Amino acid sequence: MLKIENISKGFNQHQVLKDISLEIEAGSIFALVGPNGAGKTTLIRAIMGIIFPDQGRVLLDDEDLLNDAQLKEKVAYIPEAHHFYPNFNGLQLAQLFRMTYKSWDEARYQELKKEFNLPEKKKFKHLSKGMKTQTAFLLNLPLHPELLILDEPTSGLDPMVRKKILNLIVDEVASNGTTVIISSHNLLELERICDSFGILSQGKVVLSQRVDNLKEEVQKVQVAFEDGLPAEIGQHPGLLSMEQVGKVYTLVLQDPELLDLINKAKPVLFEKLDISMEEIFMSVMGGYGNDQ
Amino acid sequence: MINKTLLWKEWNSNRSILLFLAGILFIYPISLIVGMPGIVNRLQDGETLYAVAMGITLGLTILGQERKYNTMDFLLSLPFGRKRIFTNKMLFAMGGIIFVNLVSYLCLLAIWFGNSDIQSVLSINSLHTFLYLQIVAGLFSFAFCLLFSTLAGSLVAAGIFTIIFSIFPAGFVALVMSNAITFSSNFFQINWGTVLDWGTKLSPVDAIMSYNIPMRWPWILTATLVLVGVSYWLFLRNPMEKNGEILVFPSLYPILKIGVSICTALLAGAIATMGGSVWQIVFFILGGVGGWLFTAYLIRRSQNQV
Repeated sequence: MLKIENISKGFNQHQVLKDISLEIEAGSIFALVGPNGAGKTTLIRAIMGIIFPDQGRVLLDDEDLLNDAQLKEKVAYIPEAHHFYPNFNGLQLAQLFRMTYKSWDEARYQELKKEFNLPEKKKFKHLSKGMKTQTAFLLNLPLHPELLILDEPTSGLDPMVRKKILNLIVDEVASNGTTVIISSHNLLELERICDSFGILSQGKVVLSQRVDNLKEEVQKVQVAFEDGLPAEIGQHPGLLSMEQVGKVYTLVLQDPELLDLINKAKPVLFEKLDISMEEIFMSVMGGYGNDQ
Repeated sequence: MINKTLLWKEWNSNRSILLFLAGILFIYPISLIVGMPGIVNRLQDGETLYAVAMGITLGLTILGQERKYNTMDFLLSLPFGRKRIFTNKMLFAMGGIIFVNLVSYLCLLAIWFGNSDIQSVLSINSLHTFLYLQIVAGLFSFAFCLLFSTLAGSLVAAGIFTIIFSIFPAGFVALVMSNAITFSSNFFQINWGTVLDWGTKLSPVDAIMSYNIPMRWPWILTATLVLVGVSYWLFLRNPMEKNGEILVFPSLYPILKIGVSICTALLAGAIATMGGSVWQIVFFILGGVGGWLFTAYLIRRSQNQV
């Protein structure tokens, strides 16, 4: 299990992370979502010990990841902007990983190498963005890490490569019980693979939940009333978002008490609708934005 | 602390630079073979130019390249602590300087033993001294640049700081002297010659040029160790999110602004000495304010680019 405890970080008098605490179950895929500038990449860099958090700890299986560099043997990290040595070719990078990690699985590397079919003698700086991403996966997956941290792994990739990469992530979790933290803006994609997710906004975790629990907790309903929407429903803090077309309202609710209120108001139309992660995200962010 | 993987990584990242610098150092044995005029004198004088160039280049690039290409993030994501990363970088760079100079020296020695004409004009002791000087000058220049590489957030900024501070005390005294010409009769009763002499002695550039003063060598080596020690302490505390900025420690920005303002004020004042003391004071103020604003602009610009 990965525990992030009270991580805070400020840059130039601006607090980027504000007392972030998260618990991520072992062997699960955790999606870290949030608008641009929410602090996702900063949080990931703090977890990896690349930047020093102002306060807080990161515990991997109860061991302090920030104070023990050796523990990173169990962690693989793929950032959005790949920071491999630009003048190294694929063979040199593989050799660097082979020499660095005791857990390096040569057979898995050879298998992935055939699958990706990348030019291994070309310098990293001369590869396309898609090839760079694939190189990063080719080098990190043979480590069979306990924790795999991915920052926007599929951004800018074509759909075929994106699908291949997502399948590899799911396979890794299924076969090795790897815990995955994945930061992305592609909520549709994340919904397909993640078990739980956390929404980060303005440096704070505004929601962290298992996807199945969240879909029970957050509901989308379509309702209509004879005399319009009662004020006690429209102003209820559990109402995350509301759209109106004529007399029909589409509501996203987080509080079960609201459903009781709706039933008591005797709607002429009441229908529960499927809700996507993207709609949950938009509703939560909209509500959160209004609070600011 | 020695790590084969990190040394291998350093070799693969810096191989071209090291081999290029090694090639330059082999100018000495090659020049001796072809009998280039003046080469014996240069060896006897203990010319340290190439060794200094080697030290400066490695001192700037060993951390600067990582900052430039953002590879420091990757390096720090590997299971190596900062202490180990720094130690192996030092082993590679300082070991490289010693090794390349040693090979160049062995070549010179082989040529010396094989040629009686050279033996008659060049003593074997001057070759030993030459090796020692190359290593001392190379290591000191490396350590001096390394200090600025751990303070500055980019390779260019580290290079500029290296140039400024290598001549700093002497340059500063010279600026004060230039301004004092106008006021000397009224305000200053100082022997500027002595002050400039001390300023020059305290300038790092003088330390690496003082090859003909053997008494200074232990001091230069001690200074080298101190500089590496301070750089190590700073690297352990380097905030990596500041890579790309002029300085990685924001608490130093006020000192930088004040320092630049004083120097630009003195420079502007020195330019205006011909116009008399009133003009000099006006230029002094304009130079100081201009220096402050320009530095503040550069800091803001570098922060926005990160």
